[in-house]
Amino acid sequence: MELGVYVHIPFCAAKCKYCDFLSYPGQGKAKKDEYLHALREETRLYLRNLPRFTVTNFYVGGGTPTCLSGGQLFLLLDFLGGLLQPAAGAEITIEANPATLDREKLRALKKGGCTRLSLGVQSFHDGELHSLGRIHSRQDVYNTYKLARRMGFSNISLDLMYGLPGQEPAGWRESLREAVGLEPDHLSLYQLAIEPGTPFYDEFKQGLLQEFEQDRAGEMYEEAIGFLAAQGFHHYEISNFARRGCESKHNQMYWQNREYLGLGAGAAGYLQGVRYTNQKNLAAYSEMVAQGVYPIGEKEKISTELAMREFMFLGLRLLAGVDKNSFQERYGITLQERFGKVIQPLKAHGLLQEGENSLSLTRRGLYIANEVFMAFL
Amino acid sequence: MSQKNIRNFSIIAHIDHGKSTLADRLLECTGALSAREMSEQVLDQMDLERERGITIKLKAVRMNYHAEDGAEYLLNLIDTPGHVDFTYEVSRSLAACEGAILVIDASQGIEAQTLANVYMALEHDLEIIPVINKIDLPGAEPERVIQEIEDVIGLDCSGAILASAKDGTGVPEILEAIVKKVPPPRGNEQGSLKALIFDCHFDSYKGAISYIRVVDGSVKKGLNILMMATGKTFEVTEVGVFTPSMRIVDELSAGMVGYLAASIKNVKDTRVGDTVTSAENPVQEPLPGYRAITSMVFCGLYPVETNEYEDLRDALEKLKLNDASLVYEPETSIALGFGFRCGFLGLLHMEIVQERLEREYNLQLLTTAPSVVYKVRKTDGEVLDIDNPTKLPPLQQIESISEPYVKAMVMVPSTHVGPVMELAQDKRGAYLAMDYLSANRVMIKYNLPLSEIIFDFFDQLKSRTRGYASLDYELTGYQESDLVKLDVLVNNEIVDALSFIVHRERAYFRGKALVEKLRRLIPRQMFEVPIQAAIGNKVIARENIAALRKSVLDKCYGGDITRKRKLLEKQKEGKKRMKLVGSVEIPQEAFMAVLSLDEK
Repeated sequence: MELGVYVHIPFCAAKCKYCDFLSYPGQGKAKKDEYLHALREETRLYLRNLPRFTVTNFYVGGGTPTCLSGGQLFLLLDFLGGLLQPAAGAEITIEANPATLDREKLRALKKGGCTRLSLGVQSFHDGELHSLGRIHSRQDVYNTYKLARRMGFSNISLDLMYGLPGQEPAGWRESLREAVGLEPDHLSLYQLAIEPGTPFYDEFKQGLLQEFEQDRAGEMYEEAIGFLAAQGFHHYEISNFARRGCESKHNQMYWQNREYLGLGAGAAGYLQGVRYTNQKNLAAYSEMVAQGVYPIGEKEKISTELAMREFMFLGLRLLAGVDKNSFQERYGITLQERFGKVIQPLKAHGLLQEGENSLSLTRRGLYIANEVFMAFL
Repeated sequence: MSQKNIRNFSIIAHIDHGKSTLADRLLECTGALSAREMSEQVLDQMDLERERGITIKLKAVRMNYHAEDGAEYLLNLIDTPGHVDFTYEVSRSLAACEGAILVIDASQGIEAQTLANVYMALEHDLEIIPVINKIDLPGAEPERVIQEIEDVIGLDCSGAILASAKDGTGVPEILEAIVKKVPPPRGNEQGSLKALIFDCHFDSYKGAISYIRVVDGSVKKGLNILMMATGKTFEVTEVGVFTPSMRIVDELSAGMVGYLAASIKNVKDTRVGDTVTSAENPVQEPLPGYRAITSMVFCGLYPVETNEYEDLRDALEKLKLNDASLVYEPETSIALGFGFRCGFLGLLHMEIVQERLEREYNLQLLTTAPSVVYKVRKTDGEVLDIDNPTKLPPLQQIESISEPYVKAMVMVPSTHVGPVMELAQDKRGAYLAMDYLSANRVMIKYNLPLSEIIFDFFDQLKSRTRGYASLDYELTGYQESDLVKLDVLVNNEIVDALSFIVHRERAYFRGKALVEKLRRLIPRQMFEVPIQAAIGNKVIARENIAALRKSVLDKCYGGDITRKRKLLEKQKEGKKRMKLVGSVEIPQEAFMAVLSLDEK
């Protein structure tokens, strides 16, 4: 059995104003050590109970994993590698904030086996970075990126955001151009979403922040797609672009509706037909692990019916679309039999297209993919 | 108790003039309810009544009162609704009384609706006790208001009571006045039973409960009764009074107000206005009944979920048990599927029925734009009653169309006469008369098409007079008008539920305003959607709803697929409140959009 692993590090220096991920800002070394200890115990718990599996990719996300010290980062990667025994050539990604990386930490990551760096750049404008509550500057991006390249990181991805308050198309174009100028291997583009429970949401409720016009966001997205294609990037998923061969394995795993182990407080996983989310409270998380219990907060058994629906809305995120054969192999029914009635009108409206063995979003479908996904749910 | 110690009365008042507060105070003063049991608007039990601060359904309550003359009296208050839609209910309660308290706000003066109800009370020969309420308020001008009552109604106000239901001032005087002024009932106590049914409700255990006023004779458990209009007989299983909750008593005798239950399965057998008599020894002549209810406004009610049709039918059946004025019959719409055409007393009644169906029966409903009943004369001489615009015959078969007209009376401070007249002209009104009620209050009368009243006349009247105007109207008959049917096409298909009948001169404006409004109400779809207004084949207005530009979740949520899925499911749930017509999702509000096309 092949399995991907997601590891959550719920710590950061300071919360960004749009962030609704589980993260406890400004925690001391002891808290983090304690957490890493629990994380190791949780990993062991799964190893004891799960049938043998091969790890093809793992991904350390947050929070800001790189707000850990160099020592902690090495410890983390070392015990994960030791326990999970990733296959040769496995993709091992760590998310990083450009302001939190230095030579020592990069060395620790390299030594720990990290093969891929995902940098949360978001913007190349200091004004925008400041208004997002990011702790790094444009200069930090350049410094960190160049340092990582020099130290041999051959696969670097950059995250960029658009639809920022007050952002103009020209500013977005500028960020894109600078990002491409760095020659990254992979780019993820996300539209800023105002999520409940964030400072941006409060500002939005008070009328201090306007929702970004979807028409303008659509234009920015369209422009980015055109620009990146011209620069030789492969647009392989709604938000993701890569140099050929550098498409993220971990990312694709989600969209191919495969199972993965989720480790750490607040982490989501999908194992043996059950989707689960771990305890968010650190004390509760550690306590459960200490007692030898899976630290799961919520879980949901995915019925075959639901799995088929998920297969569609996840698979269609990939530009290659869903594979008709794999649908039939997995569920014992053809795509046409199960979803023919849903597909037909979407095709008629020009949102879906069919290949010999695939079903995928059209260019138009890409922009309003939610409308397509909802039809399958 | 003998009839000479019974007093039956009701309270006539305009909305907000303090009827419910006064009723609360009377109950408290006579000890019918202790202060502990009191809640505001005790008689308005329906959530909707409390929220809106209005009385929808009439109620009755009995009070025991120890008067100054040392005797014990039995006072029956029969509560009345105050809104013009429910005039019919008012006439029912007045018919069961010998007196009425007329409550007038000391700063507002008489309102149009009060006036109509006072005239109705005078027609029933009721003794009227004027009460000037809210005298504790700084703006109170009791002398002016008394003068107004004397001038306008011609009522002797020498005995008018100055009161404040809020702080209790004048309440003892009101109770004494009821005893002294309202005549006791003068029925034949020994005669055969003769009682008026003035209301009813359905109880799932006891069957239909008839609210009765006994005129002659008496009724008790075991008596075989005859419903004179329907000819059905029943055996009485229970009689009782309202305290205000239902309390069983041995007997209801001449002059008393209470209820009877007789295992009546079908509410149609307790027709409001019917006379109950003894089956063994029936009286010859029934009591005068009420005029039949006429529905003034019709609209289509459709379940948002087509599979809720049966539930809607059951809910309407149940609601009708307690609301005889609601009429309905099945209809179908190409756009909306199976539903019901329902008739209402007025727009408020319509809103209330819709809200009760949604709340009490947990249904999601679509309401089509309300329509009056048009009389269409066809070229072959046949005359059709059309309560649904889609049923209008083809143009070439129509000789003429007539619409119902009303005489509308608006009472307003003289400073606001201009805006009222302007509004009435805008709404195709014909000026009838203007009377000064006092130096600064005026009553304006207009002949107006009912259809204009049910559009946004009342809202406009309120906003143009800063809430000072009050309105009453009565149906006067039909007049021929130059009317046309306006169709709305969404994505090039006629949506029948959006069609309406309108005066030709207004068609262009309303059509334009409606498509503009629909453009704002209908969310952007996967494709561009044209919206057109047309008369016959001629398109008179058009708007386009641009296609959705971007609708996609791109955040990964750290692999939290469940969260991503739930967000999509929630978004999809939001769409369920819309009706899929052709391939366009149309929200509920769109079907009512035609009602509030702001003309200014």
